Amino acid sequence: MVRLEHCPVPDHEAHTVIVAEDEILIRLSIALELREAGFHVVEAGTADEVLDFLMTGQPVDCVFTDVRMPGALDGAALAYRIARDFPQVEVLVTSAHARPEGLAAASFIPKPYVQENVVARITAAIASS
Amino acid sequence: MTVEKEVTEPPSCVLMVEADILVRQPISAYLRECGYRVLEASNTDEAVLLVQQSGVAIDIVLADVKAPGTLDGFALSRWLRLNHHGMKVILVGSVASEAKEAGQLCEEGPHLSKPYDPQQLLDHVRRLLAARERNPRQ
Repeated sequence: MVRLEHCPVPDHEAHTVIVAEDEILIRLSIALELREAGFHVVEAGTADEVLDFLMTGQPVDCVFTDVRMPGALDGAALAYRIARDFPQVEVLVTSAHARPEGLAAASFIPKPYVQENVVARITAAIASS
Repeated sequence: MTVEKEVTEPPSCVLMVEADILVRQPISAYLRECGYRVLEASNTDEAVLLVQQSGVAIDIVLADVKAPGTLDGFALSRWLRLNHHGMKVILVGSVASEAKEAGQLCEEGPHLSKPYDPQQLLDHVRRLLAARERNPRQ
């Protein structure tokens, strides 16, 4: 593990967003957009990585997840798990396919998306929590 | 009258290749806090895609020797030396037997060992970038 005592203290003012997306170039692009908007961004390629990070107890304000990802859980199942186990964390789900059954329209962003709109939706979701 | 134009160079870019998000995330965040641009890959296939298609000029690749993917960290390092000679490589491993091979592949000294010491890593990155600035063709 990492000797964190040598690391600088992170900016506690910044909200933390986990981006869960297995397409690396898409993940890079939206992560950069969110960082430029002032968010602290954690990049994950699977739902398992998201849960691993959430279970560390580090503060997370929002998870922005794709539906189709490799691993045991897809993005829709991940959204359910987060709502059950980490209800303080906002979740926004994105997909190039139909909105998953049972997912509120307010929590869904269809692909392809405009990155500025994603930033605005995440900002609004965190503000309303 | 002369007008001085402020020229700011873009920050140097480190590509970190590490499968474990609980290692990748704090080290990436640390390097960003230190002023570097950091790209993250969880396996070597993602790393190759970022090198080839991200459009970002990558200065240093920091790779776990056991990174998953079509290539392991050693093979990724060899591929970079063949195809992207300007990129410096830091290999990171935890087993002593990995050290010899990694040392032969890394420029400017031996590989780094896990667990990461962030200050040691930062020193290593700075040394590599300084060496590259002195000898840009290497």
